[in-house]
Amino acid sequence: MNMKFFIGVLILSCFWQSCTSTKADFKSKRIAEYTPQRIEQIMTSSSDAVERRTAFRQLLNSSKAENSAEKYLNDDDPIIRRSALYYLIDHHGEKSVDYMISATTDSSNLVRALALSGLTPYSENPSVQSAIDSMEQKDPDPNLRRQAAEINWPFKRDNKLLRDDPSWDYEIVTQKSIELSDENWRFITDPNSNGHRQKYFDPLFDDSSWKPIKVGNWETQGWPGYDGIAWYRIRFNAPEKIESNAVELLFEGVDESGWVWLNGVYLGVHDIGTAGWNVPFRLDATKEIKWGQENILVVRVLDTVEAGGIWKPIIMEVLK
Amino acid sequence: MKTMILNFLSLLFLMNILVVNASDDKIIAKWNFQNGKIEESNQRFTGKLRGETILGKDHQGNSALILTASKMSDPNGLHMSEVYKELTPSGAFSLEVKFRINPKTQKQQMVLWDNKYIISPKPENKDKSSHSGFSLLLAKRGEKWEPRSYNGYGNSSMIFYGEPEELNDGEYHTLRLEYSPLEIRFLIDGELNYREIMVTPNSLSPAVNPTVIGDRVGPNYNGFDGTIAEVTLMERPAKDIIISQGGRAGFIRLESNPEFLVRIDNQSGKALSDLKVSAEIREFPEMPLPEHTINLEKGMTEILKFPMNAKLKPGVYHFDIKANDVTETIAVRLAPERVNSYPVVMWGNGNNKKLSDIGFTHAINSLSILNPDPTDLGKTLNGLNKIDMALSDNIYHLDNIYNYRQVQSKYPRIQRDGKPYERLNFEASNPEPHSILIKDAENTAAAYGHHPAFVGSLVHTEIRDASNPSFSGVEEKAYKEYSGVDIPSEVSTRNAPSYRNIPDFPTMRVIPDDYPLLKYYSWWWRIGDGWNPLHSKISKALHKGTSDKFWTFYDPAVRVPPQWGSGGDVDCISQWSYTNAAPIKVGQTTDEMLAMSGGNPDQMVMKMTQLFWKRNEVAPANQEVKNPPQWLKEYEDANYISASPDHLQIALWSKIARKLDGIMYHGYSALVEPTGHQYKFTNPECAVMLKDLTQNVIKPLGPLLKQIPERRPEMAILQSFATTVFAPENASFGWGRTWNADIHLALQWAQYQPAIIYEEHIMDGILDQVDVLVLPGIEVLTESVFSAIQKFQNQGGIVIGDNLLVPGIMPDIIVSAIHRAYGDPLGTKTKLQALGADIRKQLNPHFRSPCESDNPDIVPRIRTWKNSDYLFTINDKRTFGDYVGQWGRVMEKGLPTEGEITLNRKAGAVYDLTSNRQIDFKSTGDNCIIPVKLKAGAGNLFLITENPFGEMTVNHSNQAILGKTIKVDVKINDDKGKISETLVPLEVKFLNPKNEVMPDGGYFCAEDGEIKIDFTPSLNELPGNWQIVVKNLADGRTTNSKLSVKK
Repeated sequence: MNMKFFIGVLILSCFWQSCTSTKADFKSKRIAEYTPQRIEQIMTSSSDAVERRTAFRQLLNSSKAENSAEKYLNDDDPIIRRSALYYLIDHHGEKSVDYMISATTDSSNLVRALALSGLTPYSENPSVQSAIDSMEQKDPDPNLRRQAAEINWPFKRDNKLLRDDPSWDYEIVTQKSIELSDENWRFITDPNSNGHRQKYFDPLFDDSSWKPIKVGNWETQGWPGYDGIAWYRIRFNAPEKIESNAVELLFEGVDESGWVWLNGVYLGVHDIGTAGWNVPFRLDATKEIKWGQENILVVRVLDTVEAGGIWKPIIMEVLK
Repeated sequence: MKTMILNFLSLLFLMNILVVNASDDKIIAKWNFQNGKIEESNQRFTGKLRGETILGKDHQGNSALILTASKMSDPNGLHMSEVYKELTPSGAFSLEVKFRINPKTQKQQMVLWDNKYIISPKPENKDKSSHSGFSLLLAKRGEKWEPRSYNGYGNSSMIFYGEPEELNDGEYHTLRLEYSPLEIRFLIDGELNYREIMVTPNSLSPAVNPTVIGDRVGPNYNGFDGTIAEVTLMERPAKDIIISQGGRAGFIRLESNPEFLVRIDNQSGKALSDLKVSAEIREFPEMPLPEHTINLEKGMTEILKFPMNAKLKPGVYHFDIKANDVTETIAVRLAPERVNSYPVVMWGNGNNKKLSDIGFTHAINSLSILNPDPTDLGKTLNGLNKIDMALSDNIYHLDNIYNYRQVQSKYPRIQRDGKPYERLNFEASNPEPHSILIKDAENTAAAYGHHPAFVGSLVHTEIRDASNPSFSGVEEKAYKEYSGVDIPSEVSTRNAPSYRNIPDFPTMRVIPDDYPLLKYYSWWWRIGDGWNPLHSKISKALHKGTSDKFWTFYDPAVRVPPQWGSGGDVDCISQWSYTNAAPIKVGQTTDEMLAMSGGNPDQMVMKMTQLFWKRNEVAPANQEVKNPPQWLKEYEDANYISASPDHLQIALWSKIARKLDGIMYHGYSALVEPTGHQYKFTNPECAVMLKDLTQNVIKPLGPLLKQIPERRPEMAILQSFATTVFAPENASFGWGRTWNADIHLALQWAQYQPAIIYEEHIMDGILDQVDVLVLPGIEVLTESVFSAIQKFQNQGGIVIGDNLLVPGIMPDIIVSAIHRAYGDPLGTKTKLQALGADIRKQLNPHFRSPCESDNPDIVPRIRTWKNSDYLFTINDKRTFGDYVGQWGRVMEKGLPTEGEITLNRKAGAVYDLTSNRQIDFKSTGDNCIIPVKLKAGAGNLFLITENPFGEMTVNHSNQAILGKTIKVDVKINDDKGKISETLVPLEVKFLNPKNEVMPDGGYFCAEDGEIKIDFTPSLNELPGNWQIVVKNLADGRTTNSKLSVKK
């Protein structure tokens, strides 16, 4: 039986002997084990992550904090690296930008996420912007790529579905499903990612110069090998108003990420990286749908590998 | 998701009470079709058969009127030749029809008798011909038939609904309508089906249409489908004085100073002076009752009080009441008192006898919907009758107030643009309608509060779910007064914007405690939307006029962000959960309830389970499977089906393993019997299981279950208000569906018992007691909570976090969030169990929990009293069965399992409380190891004590007198002769000389080894040698003592 286990058992046995006096026993006895001498020993030689993190926390609370933070920025344990970086950000603010930029290429997404969050307030700094751009393009974690992209992305929307509404405790029945046409789409590529600035999503935007395209990947419809951003627009007529609790647009397949506007209003995004190419997603459009009128749906698609585009049907679902 | 079931089922209790005295009745008309004639027996009323109606042979070869299902355009039945005014009696009468329904009928409504024609005219219709005559019909309610009578009174009409009963068995039944100007009754096969009292005497207005037997007078026809054997219309003689029940007829033994109210109506047409009214209790004539002398103007009513003796033995007692030469017998029932029982509440109602048989103790049935007015005797009496009926089956009554929807169209919540929200919701923050709502609550309490079986009220359910900030001016003003600033411009709905979409949101996600949006939403959820203060007001109003034991409650109380105060000052909070996909999740959602009540330690907590599943979550209709289950043949289109018995069983053990004040269930028709409700009765085994557990666990151990305290929270999971507001993706809202809930399951499977705590607990200092803090999905924290967690770690506390945790907190153990795959419950369970095992592996060198198991499917939970531990073990080993397992979405079938539970303590003895015996265990060092063997879905409860129990003594005086109370003192020692400082479950029986079990006994919990029990032998019991038998439900030992009882 090792010492720590023995102490643990001892503490617990004390607990059972005297139930009411145990509240602080466990923690105070545990923390008392972390003497300065032992902390150094643990940081050097222990392989127990819980023990090392506790010890490092003690270091950050000591007079050695500053040096320790810098020293352990390269520790094997990403939690310790992240805590070290956090300490520097917390204590030095903008002066820690170099540490943060350096951390944008850390092997751990936890560290990179912290670096990205830390850099956000300084995005006007060119070297910071460059690091953010780099993360947007290259970060292996799609969530971090998206977060990096969102720093400069002007469209924000919390799109909540009826099925995710915590106050809804009823069976959700699809009253009517209306599949949008596979044809009649207008299409344009946007290699420089400027379309949103040119208001491609605006219902009044003149898309007459755009090319027609059908649902299916764009490679086989005249844009072979194109990877990047492209825009789709379609007009469709909604039926006369149906009494319902929600209207949702179901995208059965967009390869691989999609940003969606209906009648000029941003609905939301599906962006989980390359894995998203065959993952259906839904967006609530209850307030945006125009019953009995023409509606304009605009989808900005990003494809980074292989085939791309809206390749499965889009369905308007009326839910009760 | 609850819909009120407003059917008030059979009142068997009163059937032997309201004996119909038919001896004076006089036949007006009788058609005996069994004689092979369509003519009325006395040849007074002639008629012709219409359409396809014939006089033929019934299924037994006897003569009868044969009617077949007809179109609404085709007349049928026996149509009288002219309008006979005698066929609408002006006074009291009865109409009895002997009929047999075609078992295959598809009809939804069938007329037995009609001369009213316009059966339900609109109130604005003042045409007298529309309000004349009466009709009697049957309407389909699920698989049952509901008797109805439509009566015309000249200027208005009234409808009376009986209780649905099963009449589709192909046999003959008789339906009898008894009408008097004061009351209406339906009797089916001689048993009272329904009774309603009218405060204003009403006589029928003579029909202007010929009477038809077996169909409606005119289009749209609605002919009977089946055979009619006999129809009898009888006149009942009018009485000068009508004696009837003037209040409740249900009493509870030993209630203090109960009174039976008798109503005297003067129908003599003249004033009565010095009218003497006397009464006697037939079964206990030695009890003197006062004689009243009254003066009663003609047409007037008086209510007289007679004392009821509550020290009699339980049973039915008949009051013989005499006023001048009129006598009437009214029976009352004295129900046995309840001793410290554990509430098992049916959220809804149904057949009380069946509910009681399963083990339910309470049911909800709205009386407030009757708009009770304490001065309106008719409405009050009908409400009291319903309570009486339930009491006769030992079901206590809970009300449900839901009049908020009646005011919401006038006081709706308003959006920023000035329009009401599309999902209309009541602006509870608006004080204007409060007085109406409070008055309704006060009236309910005043009308029924004196009834000892009216014990509680649900003050509100579900409407708040659609609450949103209202911009009518009320909330803007209130917030300005509260905060000094306007409502932040970002606020438009109940949901704050995601922190990701808030410009300048602190990048490290630690926000000031007074961050404007946080401050607003904290205010809005706590008091701003008005619901919690309104709950408090309604609760207070209900307590006026009700007993001290009356309890108010609110559900769903945790369908809100994690912040104390939900429900306001109601006495109890509750919330329901579904058992799928993992039934121990019910334990997690129960812990949420306990967390919510943390702000009000005196508040009771109950927990509800849905008895059904949503079909699309467990067995989607659009997915075909091999070997479809049996239920699918009958309920192909079901949207809701019964949950599986093993799920319900595991969920029940998960609930009672926590310190609750009771448990609830919803979905009567999914458990008890099919009613036609959308919750389908697809698994009859559920009721069998529940009955077994209520009889063998909840009833005997209930007093103990209510008393064992929760342990201090060695491990706790934080549910953060700040995170819920700004990053609600992982917020629970009481559903138990998110990662925050699933890690709780992982920890349960790893034999931990994490408490759920809120930020308020932390600010209250709870981290002093916590050793391990789990922070799943905690993306945003306030500065003070952030600091408290840092301090906790600095003092030696261990934090388990994930990659969403605010980066300023360094977790000691980091875990990856597991996102539940609803189509893969086995995969999810496997991953979560692996996660739990991994956490235990990392924690074990640093923290030892009180117990450990070699089998992750055995979920332990400990509650502790001093040095005694109460170990619950729950068998969560499950697989895909043949009920819904074919769809692969729920492992609904339990499997037996066994293992060993190791407790980090020394033990002197271990007792199995469900089998009442001491069991063997192993000791190793400071540990004790308990072998556990559990049947499918089963649980168990062990008591671990320092020392074995020793002698049990029962002390009381040797003699007692009928009707007088004595104290019985029970003491349990340990084997060293010291009083055992343990909570000990006991069964106490008082036996009369015939060895019959007497009231006052039952199940008890001896605190610190001792309990004093009051025993009052009933006044009318047998004197002689009685016995007191006490059983220790831990070790099964019994003590008998003798008691001499005298008159």
